Amino acid sequence: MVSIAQIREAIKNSGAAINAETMPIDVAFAELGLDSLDRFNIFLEIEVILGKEIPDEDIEKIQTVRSLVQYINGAQ
Amino acid sequence: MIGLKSIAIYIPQDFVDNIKQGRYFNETEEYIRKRIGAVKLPRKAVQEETSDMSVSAIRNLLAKTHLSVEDIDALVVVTQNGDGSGLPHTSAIVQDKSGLPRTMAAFDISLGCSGYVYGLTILKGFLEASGLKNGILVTADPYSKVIDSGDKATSLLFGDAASATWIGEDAAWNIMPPVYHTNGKGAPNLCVRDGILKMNGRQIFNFAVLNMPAQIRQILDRENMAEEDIDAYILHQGSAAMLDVLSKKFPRVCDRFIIHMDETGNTVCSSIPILLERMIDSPGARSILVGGFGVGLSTATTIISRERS
Repeated sequence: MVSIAQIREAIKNSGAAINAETMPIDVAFAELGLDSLDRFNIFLEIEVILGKEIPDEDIEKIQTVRSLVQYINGAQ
Repeated sequence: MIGLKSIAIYIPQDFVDNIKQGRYFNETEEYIRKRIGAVKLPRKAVQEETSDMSVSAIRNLLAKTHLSVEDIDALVVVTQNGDGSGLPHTSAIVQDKSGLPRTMAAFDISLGCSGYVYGLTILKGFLEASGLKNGILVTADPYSKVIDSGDKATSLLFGDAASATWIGEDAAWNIMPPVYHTNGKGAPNLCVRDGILKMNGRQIFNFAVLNMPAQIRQILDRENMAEEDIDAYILHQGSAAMLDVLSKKFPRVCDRFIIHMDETGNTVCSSIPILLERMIDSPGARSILVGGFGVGLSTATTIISRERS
């Protein structure tokens, strides 16, 4: 299981130009100014933490922090 | 000692306005400038062949050095988009077009963005093993031959360019043994299918970010060097965003990572020599780390160091 706090930590580690601690969890990454390259980096941080790959075909389903948590926890 | 003596580059005059192209793909100017990193993407003329670009780079090298045509013993062309269908090898065509000696050795190397680092070592070793003195390493891989102009992932990224590097005796720069990494499982993530370049940007990003920092640390450890012992880190200019992420993996020296692709874009195997040319011609730097990553998927990293005079 992954927590929202872990996701925030991963976003912080990715170096994305956003305050990971205060970013809303239900607003789409794109609306928060995170582009596809930011998302690649965030997903990679998560993959390293989990030791598990998020398949390319699932990427488009994951648009918010909450959906990322739900995806990972549902997939485990 | 056989090492790196000089570099010259050739950049076609025609170019794609990448800000304008970005608008077509609904991308902002900020995204093009800061994330892609290139406002201009040079494009070879339609009738200009890979061999012609190579000839131009060699001409520029001969013009800036005292190297004579008759003293060139070997020619290597790094390309995966050679003349015609790739048979014969482009280096043979370049030998003829450049008026280089018929007594010379000439062969191509089929590698992408790691090709320059491979090429340095292959040509150095080839000259040493063959008892030869002077070789030219050319990079020329015009992706405009295989780009689908409607494909955002590749259209916004790649530019055409060529370089020519003189490898020879009594060189000012020593080429250290590289470290390599190959993962052919990732090959479909950057390949040509039905004549069109296909790229899975996310997988290329992952490959680079997972492997390049480890490879850089590996070669520094092997040479007993600290991160601070390297004056400049010249990695393949894949995209500004990718280079930004890679540089942040080395916070103590992140400002030594060169990100400079605004007027060239990603020129595949030419991106490293384009930056290296400026660096080796200036007096400051003594140790430069160069690392390429991409097609294969493949990485190669080495350090070039100035000989103490």
